Amino acid sequence: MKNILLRSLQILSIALLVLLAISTFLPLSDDPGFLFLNRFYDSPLNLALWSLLAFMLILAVLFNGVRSGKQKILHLALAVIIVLFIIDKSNNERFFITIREGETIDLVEHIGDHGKAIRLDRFEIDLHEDEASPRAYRSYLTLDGSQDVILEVNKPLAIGKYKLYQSAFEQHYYFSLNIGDEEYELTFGDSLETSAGKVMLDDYDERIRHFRLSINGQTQWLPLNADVGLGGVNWSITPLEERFSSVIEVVEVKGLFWLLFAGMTYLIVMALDFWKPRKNREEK
Amino acid sequence: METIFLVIALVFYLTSVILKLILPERRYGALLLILAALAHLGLLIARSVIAKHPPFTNIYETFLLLPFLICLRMLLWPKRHEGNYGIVMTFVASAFMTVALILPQAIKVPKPLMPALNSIWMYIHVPSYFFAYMALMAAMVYAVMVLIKKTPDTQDAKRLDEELKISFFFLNVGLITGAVWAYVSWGNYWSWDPKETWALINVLVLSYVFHLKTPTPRKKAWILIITVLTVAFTYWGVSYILSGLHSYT
Repeated sequence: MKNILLRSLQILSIALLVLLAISTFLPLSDDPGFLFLNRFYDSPLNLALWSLLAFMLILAVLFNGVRSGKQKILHLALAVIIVLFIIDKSNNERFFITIREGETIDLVEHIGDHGKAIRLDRFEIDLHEDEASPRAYRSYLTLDGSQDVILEVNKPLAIGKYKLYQSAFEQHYYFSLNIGDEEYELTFGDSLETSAGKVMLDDYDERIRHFRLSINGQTQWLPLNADVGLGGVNWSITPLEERFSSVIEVVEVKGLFWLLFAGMTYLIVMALDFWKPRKNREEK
Repeated sequence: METIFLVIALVFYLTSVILKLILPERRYGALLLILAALAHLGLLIARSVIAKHPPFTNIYETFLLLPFLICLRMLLWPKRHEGNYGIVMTFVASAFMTVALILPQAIKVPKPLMPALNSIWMYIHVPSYFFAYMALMAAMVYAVMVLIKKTPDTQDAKRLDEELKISFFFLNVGLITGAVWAYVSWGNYWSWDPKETWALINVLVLSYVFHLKTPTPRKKAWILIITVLTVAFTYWGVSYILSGLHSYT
């Protein structure tokens, strides 16, 4: 039994490492391809092989494939780590939200009772000395209109069983669109319902200094900082300021404690097994 | 300043190798190794001051830090590094330093750290791998000694085992602390990024040593050599051929 287990474990680990190695050279594709190699990492085959490995580790412990107590703990801890990874990958809810400065997003719509209303008061970037690359960036948030918190890279924020991560940021130029007496604020890609219909700001042509808008599906060009009469109404578009949007990842946290516990157990027991205390060694 | 320290340290390393080879009295070589270590320490401090971060964030810095760890190891455990083994290891350190010296300037220019790297975990995760690489280098020397001799020396086999354990342990520490750091930074233990995948492959390959039906020094030596090749690919090949979350070079 021990030999069969050992041989199976050897074959399984070789199969896993060969498939994993090959998959890193192939471009990601929606078509899974031969043996799911185009997306091996999230394939059922990968999941099955790792599950089988965890199962065999447990079998090795149960059927005395490993004899010493330390090695039994080591193999069990490894099986727990693999199972927790599989659970984390399979069940955890995660999604991104993008909040503009001054905007409020109600997380209750996304995560139910755990959610809070999040307002991005301002976004701040610290630059390296080269003045080009960010050293750190952070969002100044207000939760439920009263609690001020700071969300920063490497410093996640816990909300119930969810965690918020400062993931990325975007910079947008904002413009004031005036249609007659009405004033709207928008940026590229925004779509607005106005008195003149649905308006979308598509692009700006630097050469002719004109904006391209889509008004009810029709393309229209508007000059920068000048009035134009359209449909009997004056239209104008003027730049406002540059503003940031914060990209935040919301993640449901599961099994972190057990993963840390299993990980620490695995490392400590491995160290004890490899480097036995001097007294034991002398006794042997 | 950095290049001056690098040249001085390299000269000391090479002189130490030559003295150890030509003089039966080994203490002069050992003295030069101490001087090399001091110059090397100066180099690492100068680099850290210039780059404003510890010297383990790109390929050039790897070629500076790894030989320093090898040198430090020889100084801290001199009895383990007596004889030809010490000469080979000093030569390996010199080879790394030579490559560091001749690398193109564009690779040597320090780059600012991205925000995710400004974390305490960088000081645990990255050094863990460097300790593993250092042990792999030492194990490689013993593996070659085991393979070239018709009957492997018991002492070589024993030390190969010790180095294998150190490298396996620190490869695992690196992998687990990396997962924890990824969780802290991105809320995700594991992303199947090419570097992560290859780091896992390294552990899987080396774990074979502990799961042999009949473990012999020769079998272990071959597995170690395969591990060194996969680790080398993980560090350089993945960085240059495959892109991903760890593309910092």
